[in-house]
Amino acid sequence: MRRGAILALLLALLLAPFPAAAFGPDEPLADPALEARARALSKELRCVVCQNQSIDESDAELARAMRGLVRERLAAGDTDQRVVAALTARYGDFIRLMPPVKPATLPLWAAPLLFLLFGGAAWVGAFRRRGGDASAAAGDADAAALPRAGAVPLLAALAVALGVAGTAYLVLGRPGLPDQPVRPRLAERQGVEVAAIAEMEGMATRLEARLATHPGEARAWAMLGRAYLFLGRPAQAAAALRRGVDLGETDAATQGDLAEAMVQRDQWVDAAAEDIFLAVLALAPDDPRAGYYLGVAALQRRDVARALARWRRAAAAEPEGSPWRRRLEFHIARLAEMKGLPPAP
Amino acid sequence: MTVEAGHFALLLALAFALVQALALPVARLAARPGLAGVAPAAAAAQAVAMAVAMAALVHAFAGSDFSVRVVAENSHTAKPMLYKVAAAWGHHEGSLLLWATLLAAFGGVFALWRQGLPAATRLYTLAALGVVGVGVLAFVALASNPFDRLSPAPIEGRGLNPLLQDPGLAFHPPLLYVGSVGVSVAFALAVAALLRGNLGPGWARATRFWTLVAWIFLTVGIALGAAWAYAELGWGGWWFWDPVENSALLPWLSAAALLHALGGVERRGGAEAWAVILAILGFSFSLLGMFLVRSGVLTSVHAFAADPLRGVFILALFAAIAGGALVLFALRGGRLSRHVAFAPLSRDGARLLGTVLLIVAAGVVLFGTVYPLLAEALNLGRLSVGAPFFDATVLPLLAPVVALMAVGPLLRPGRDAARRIWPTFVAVAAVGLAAAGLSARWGGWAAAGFGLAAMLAAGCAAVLWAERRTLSRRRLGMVVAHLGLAVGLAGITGGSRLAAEGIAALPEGGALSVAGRDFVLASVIEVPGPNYLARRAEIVEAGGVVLRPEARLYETPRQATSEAAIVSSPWGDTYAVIGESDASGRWVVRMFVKPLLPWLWAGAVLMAAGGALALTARTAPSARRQP
Amino acid sequence: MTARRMILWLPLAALLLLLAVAGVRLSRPEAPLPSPLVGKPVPDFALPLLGGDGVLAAAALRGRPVVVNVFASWCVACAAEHPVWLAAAQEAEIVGIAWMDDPEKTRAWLAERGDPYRAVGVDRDSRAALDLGVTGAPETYVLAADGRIVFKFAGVVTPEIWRRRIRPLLGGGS
Repeated sequence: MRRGAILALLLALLLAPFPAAAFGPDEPLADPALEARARALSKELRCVVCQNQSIDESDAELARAMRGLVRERLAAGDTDQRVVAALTARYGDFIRLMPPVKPATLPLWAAPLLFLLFGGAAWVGAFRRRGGDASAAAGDADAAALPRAGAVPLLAALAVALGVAGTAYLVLGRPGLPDQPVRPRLAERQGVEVAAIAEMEGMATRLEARLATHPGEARAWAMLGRAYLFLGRPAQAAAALRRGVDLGETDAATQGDLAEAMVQRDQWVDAAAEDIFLAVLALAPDDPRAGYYLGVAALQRRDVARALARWRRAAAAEPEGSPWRRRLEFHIARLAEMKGLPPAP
Repeated sequence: MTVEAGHFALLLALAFALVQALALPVARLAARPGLAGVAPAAAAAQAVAMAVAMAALVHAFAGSDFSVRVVAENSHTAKPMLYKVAAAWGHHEGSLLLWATLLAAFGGVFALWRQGLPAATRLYTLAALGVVGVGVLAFVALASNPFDRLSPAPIEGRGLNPLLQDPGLAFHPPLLYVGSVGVSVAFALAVAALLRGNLGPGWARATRFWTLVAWIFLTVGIALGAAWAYAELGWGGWWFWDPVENSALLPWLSAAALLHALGGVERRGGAEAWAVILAILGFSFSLLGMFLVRSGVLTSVHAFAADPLRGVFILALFAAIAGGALVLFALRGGRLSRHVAFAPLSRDGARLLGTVLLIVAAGVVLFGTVYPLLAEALNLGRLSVGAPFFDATVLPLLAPVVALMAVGPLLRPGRDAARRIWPTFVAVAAVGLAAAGLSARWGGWAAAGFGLAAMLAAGCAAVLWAERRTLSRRRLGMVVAHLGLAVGLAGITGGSRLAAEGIAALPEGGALSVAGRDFVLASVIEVPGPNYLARRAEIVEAGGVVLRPEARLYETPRQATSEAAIVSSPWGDTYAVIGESDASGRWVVRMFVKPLLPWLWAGAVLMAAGGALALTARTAPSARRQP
Repeated sequence: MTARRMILWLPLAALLLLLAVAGVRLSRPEAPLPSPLVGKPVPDFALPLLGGDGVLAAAALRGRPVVVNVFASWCVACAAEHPVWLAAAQEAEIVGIAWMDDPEKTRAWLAERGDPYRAVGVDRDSRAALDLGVTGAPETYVLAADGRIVFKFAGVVTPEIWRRRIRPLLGGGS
């Protein structure tokens, strides 16, 4: 029952195009009697932008405005009925969680009484006549033991079931598609054994536990961020690395990891990430990763010349045949080819 | 290949359900009774196949296999393992698979356990369960298949919502499902009785057993849901008369009614048609709830993502299953006895009246819930039917039920004499009136609530005293469950009618007075969590409690959540929420004092415990054998 | 005998009623909340004007048909319907109500997208919105020359809705 609650409620809170505002301290009226009336009235008015909530319990801004209107009118001396009438004139009976008695709601209000009368009559009726229609004596079919199905019917039934299920599976199933749990896929992507992924997950869990009690340890935050990055969770990685950097872990590698996590998270080198990569280059002028992503940032601005320049500088600083050098050279060649430029300056 | 194995197991279960449903008709048509013996084997096989399918889905969630569509949509590698597993039933497809798995499990146990039922009853019941299984499994396989695959698979899932990570949320739905699926056995037994034309031996006892199992789980499931709302939603409410809550309440009410109707049927016969229709209603309400939650026809904070096509499918399923049973009831119900062999003034008479009132209340809840739809269909305009309506109509209908619970068990079975019982009645009523008088200063509702609770408790005490030497385990279970309701009612009354609240924007060191208690906002500090930053307030009552509510800002995705702080004592809850800060550095603090509220949860536990006591009791050997 | 048998059919009848209601509900989408104000005079509101002194008063909107559009800078759907108003501004008088919005943000929003409104009233505390029975943004009202509300639309006004349902209400005069 409640499981969707959360979902819908949260979605409503998060995605609703309304600024949220919980019941605020400025709302209650000074006069307790008037305030009690306002609360009681608020419980009977529906928040029109919410899912079945009264304005009393809703966080929607419109509900807050309505609570304000209710209190304003009560303070001005209106009766409860007049406040409700004013809102009904604008929103219709929909706004009343306690529906008014009128022709359209007559069945609703009559139902409890009708059901009660009917139920009472049925109860009285049950005592009126004795016996007579009591059910017939024990039937013929009161044998205790189930009929025994022989092996042949059982096997035939199994064969039928397998046939039906097999046919349905051929239509609905994906027999060729293996399982793809995420650990082996990550391991393949990172070029490590599956055990290393499990080990990294264990490390992340231990670091999380430690940081829950020692939240000031910059190095632990940075390590946790790296673990997340390795495990393919860039958003969490960025958050953890950001905390690490803020707490003082400002070496080039940590900052570079932070910026890389941000890039992986956003799939874009934004200005914030670019600034961090520039800071990395200030600390370590030959950092190939910073050079690479700054080139990408330049490309995002369609500045091909600057991108090539960044990449060439970064590549030149790397030893021949290193992974970063190979990667940079590959991109330089591709970009030059596409733009019809010579691969080397 | 576990995913595909799970998919095949699901389809195999569907095929077994088909065999289970068709075994008896085929045996009749072929005039070979032996063929019907296939049904129990098919039911057991269906249970095993569904267990395999459910296990395969859980395995896919545990291993974050994002090639499975529902895993990619509803899970994430960053979830703790508990919530990865719980995510397997935290969405439409998975929860439906769990529903079907539980149905198959109930069917499997029923198939293998004789329970003193004659063969005909068991075969009819299994056939009815098979039909239900075919319908639900066809829906799962064709319109809500959890084993849909994605290729290529994404490397990360989309289901990271920190707010959904709550233990209450992980376990409340499965418990509620056990209850709402459990009533299907009583339903199938009722269909079997109609097909037979009589109840047959052992029917009442078996129906009572399965209904009691379902009722216990419904009680716990509903209470957990209410407790979750109370702790997490941050405004201290626990029941909102929301359509989806109502549709969980309906099976609970009708299961409670059925349990009490069966007492009379089991011991003295009569009112068989009433018991049968209650059993049909229970599961029909359960299916109706499924329709309301999953089709999106009613606006509710609980609704799953609305899908009209699924709505049509479930509506057809509901129409076929409930409609089929009710047609059968209309045609064959006349063969069952509708009259009773006991007097109105008797334990059985009071019990029968209680069942009538429970069903009247359920009828009002149902009618009120769907009335906005009815009004719209008839172009009577858009209406809302909300909590104030249900408070004003359903509670007055349930109040006499509580009064009946207080005095009914004191009556003798079969027939009692007014002049024997009236002194006891007067004593019990006097206790209630005294309590009502003492609590009248908190208003009429409080007087009624506490008066009834005290009257019920007094009635329970009187039963214990009167039967102190002869009390059977089953009677003890009844008393404990009734006492649970008294305790819960006191908790509900105290937690709502005696509650006080206060709200203020406080600077650090500022004070707020609620219900005569002074609370000081001692400090607000920032506390980092693994993927959120929390502002934790420390609210101190001089010589009293310390509360530490948090406002959390999650970073991925960006979300603000509020963690209420609740300190419970036997005499009540103190509840605090911290909100935003204003420009002058003051914090919004909202506090509730809810006297006796924990009694509500204690009451629910007592009710479930009472049910469990009665469940494990052996039926009295003197029980009259059914004709 | 028949009366006693009829009672057995009662649950089935209740079920059929329920099914009929659910069927009707499934077969047609939920209608937008009808406004009881349609056909009635526009409630009297007076809002400060965006960017300047003066008031946007309901009374001043009489004498010619006027379109009142409730919008806000935080409202994503408002941006989606905005081009319709930019195009319609040539043929009709359109008045905006900036709902629950910071005037600075409203101004920036209009500066970026263009301003189709003859006048914009600032309704930060929802008073005019509550008077009009607003349930969300965007929302659009058509006022006749005599000051009655003749049409209300909740949601994004498409060019189609503008052409078919709103423009005909404005008469040839504007």
